[in-house]
Amino acid sequence: MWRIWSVFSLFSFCFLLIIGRLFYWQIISGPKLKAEAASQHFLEMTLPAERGIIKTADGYPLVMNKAAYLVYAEPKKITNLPVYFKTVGQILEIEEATISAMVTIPNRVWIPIAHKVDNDKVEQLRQLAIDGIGFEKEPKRYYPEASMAANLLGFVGQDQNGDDQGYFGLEGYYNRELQGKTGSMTIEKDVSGAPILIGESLRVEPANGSTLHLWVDRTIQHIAEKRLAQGIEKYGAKEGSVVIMDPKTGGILAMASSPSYDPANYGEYDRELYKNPIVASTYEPGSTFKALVLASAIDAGVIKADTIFDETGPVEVSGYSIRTWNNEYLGPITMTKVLEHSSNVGMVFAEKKLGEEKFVKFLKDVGFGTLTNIDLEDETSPDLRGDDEWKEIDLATASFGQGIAVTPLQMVRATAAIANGGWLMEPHMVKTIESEGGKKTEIKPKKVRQLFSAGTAEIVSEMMVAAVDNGEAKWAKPKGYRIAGKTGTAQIPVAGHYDDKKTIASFVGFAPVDDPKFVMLVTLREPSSSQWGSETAAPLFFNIAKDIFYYLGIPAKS
Amino acid sequence: MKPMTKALIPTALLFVLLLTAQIMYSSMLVGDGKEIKVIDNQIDVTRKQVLLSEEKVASASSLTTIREQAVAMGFESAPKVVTMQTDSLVVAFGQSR
Repeated sequence: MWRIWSVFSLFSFCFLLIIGRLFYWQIISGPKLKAEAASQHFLEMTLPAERGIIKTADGYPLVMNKAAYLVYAEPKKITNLPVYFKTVGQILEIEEATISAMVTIPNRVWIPIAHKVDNDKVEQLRQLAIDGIGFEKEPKRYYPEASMAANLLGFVGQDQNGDDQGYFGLEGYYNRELQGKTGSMTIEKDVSGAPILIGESLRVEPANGSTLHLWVDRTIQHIAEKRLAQGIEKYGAKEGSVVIMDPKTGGILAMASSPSYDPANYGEYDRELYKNPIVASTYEPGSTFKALVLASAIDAGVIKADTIFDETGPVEVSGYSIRTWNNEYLGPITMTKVLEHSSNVGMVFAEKKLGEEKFVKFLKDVGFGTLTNIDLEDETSPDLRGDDEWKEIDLATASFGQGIAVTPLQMVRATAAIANGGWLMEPHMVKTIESEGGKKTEIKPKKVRQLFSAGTAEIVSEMMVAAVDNGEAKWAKPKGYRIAGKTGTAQIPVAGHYDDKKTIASFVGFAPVDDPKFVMLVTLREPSSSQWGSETAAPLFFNIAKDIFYYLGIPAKS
Repeated sequence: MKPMTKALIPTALLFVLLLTAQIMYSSMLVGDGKEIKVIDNQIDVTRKQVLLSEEKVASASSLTTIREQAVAMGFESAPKVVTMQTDSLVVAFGQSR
C-alpha cells in the first residue's frame, strides 16, 4: 500500500510543481513576457508634437520650428573608429577626443552625440553613409526676425528630463499651450520589420502646440527697436525701453528694450538679460505721473484745468523744501500751465486739494502695487506703502512721481486710461490662441475699472496736448499732429538718497488725440548727452510716433 | 474509381487552391506592408520639405532680409526732414532742460 501512496505523492508533487511553474510564467512573469513578445511583434514609435508658432498681428511668424535632429552613435555598428571620430567631429564641429570619450563608454548601445543639429549638417552625414550613426527628429526654434522681440518672446530650453520647456516671456507663460502633447504609434510588424497591413495597430495622434496670434505688430515692433537703438546711441544712455499699447483694447503693439539677447543662442548671454524690464524692472515715473494726479483731482472736483495757483516760491512740507525743476516761479498760473511747466510746487497744491485718502485710493485704483495680469511670465510689481504709512512728505513727492516705484507697463497702462475715456484696461500680448484643429479662442479686451469720467479724460488730454505744444519738448514735435504727452526726469535713488547726476528720462503720451491709436512710454536710463526727458526721451518718442503715423497712414493736419 | 478516391481528389484540389490563395494573400500583405513603409517615408520627406519651405518663406519675408534686398536694389532711407517752427526758437539752445 505504501508503494501506491509513494507513487501518488510523487505524481502529486510533480503536478504541483508544474502548476506552480505555470503560475509563475503566466501570472507573475506574464506581463513581462507579453511585453518582450510584443517588442518582437510590434513596432513602437513616439510621435513628437510640434511646438506652436508665435505670430504677429499681421500674420508673420516671430517664432516657428526648424527641422533639426538628434545625432546618436551605435558603437557596436561602427566599423572604423578613427575615421568615424574624424568625419563626425568635423561635420558636427566637435573635437575628436570628445566624440571618442562619448562613443567608447563600455556596454552602451546608443549614445547621443549632439542635440538639435541643423538639417544641412545631417544631410552631409547621411550622404557619407557612415556606419554606426543615426538621426532622430528633434525640431528646434527658429526666429525669422532674429533677436527682434526677444524679451517678450522668451526662449525654449530643456527641463531636467531633457524635454523642451519654455522660459520667460510668452514661451514661459504659454508653455502648456505651445508644447502640445506627444503621440505614439504601435503597429504589428513582419520579420523584416515592415508593418503588416491588417495587423494590430494603435495610433495616438500627437496634438501639436497651439499657434499664438499676438497684438504685436511686426512693423511697429521693428520701428520701436530700430529707433530705440538709435536713441540709446545718440543720447548715450545705459539702457532703454519702449512700450506701445492700443489704449482701447489693452493690446501690446510693441515692446522693445535694450540691451537684449538672441533667443536662439540664449546661453551666450548674461542671465540678467532674460527678464523683460518693461514688466520686471521698476523705476520712479517722475513728472510723467503728473497728468494722472491732475486727472484724479479734476474728477474729484477739487480743481479745474483753469484753477489758478499762485506759484510764488518753494513749498515747505514736513521740513523739506520742494522747488520747481529750474527754481523759477511764474506767479499765478492755471493747472494747465502747471502741467506745461511741470511744476512740482503746483502738483503739491493739487495733491493737498485732493486729500490723503482720495490720493492713496487713486494710487491703488490706477494699478500701482498690483500686477497688471499681462500674459508674460516674468511680471513683478513693487509694493505700495500701507495705508497708515504715508507721511505728508511721501504724499507730496508722490504727486510729482518721486518716492513711488512702478513698472513701465503699469505706467503706460495708467496713461492709456486718459486716452480711453478713463477706463483702465488689462494689458494683453495674445489676441487669439489657435489650436491645431483650427479652433480659435479669442482673448477679449478686459476693462478693469473706470478711473475717471470720459469728460475728465478729455480735459486732461487737452492739458497734455498743451504740455506738448508749449512744453520743453515742443521743438521735437512733428508738425500737423495732435499729440498728448508729458516728459519725465526722475532721479535714481542710490543707497537711501537721490543721485543728482543719474536720471531716468522718460516721455509718455498718445496720439492722435482725437482718436488715439497708440499710447507709448519711452524710458532712457542715465542718458549722458542730457539728463532731461525733454531733450532725450521726448525726441525719441516723436521719432517713433512719426514712423507709426506714416505706417498707419495717419496724415498730418494743417 | 473508388468512392473514397472520388472524395479525396476534390478535397486535395481544394486544399491546394486554399494553400495557393493563402500564399498569394500573404505575399500581397508583405508587399502592402512594404508599400506602407514607403508611403510613411514619403510623408516624412514631404513634411520635412514643407518645414524647410516654411522656413525659407519666413526667412525671405523677414524685415531684415527685405531691408537688405532693398538696399542692394538701391533703395535708401528717407532723407531726414527737419521741421522748422516759425512761432518759436527751432531748438532750445542754451536751455537748461
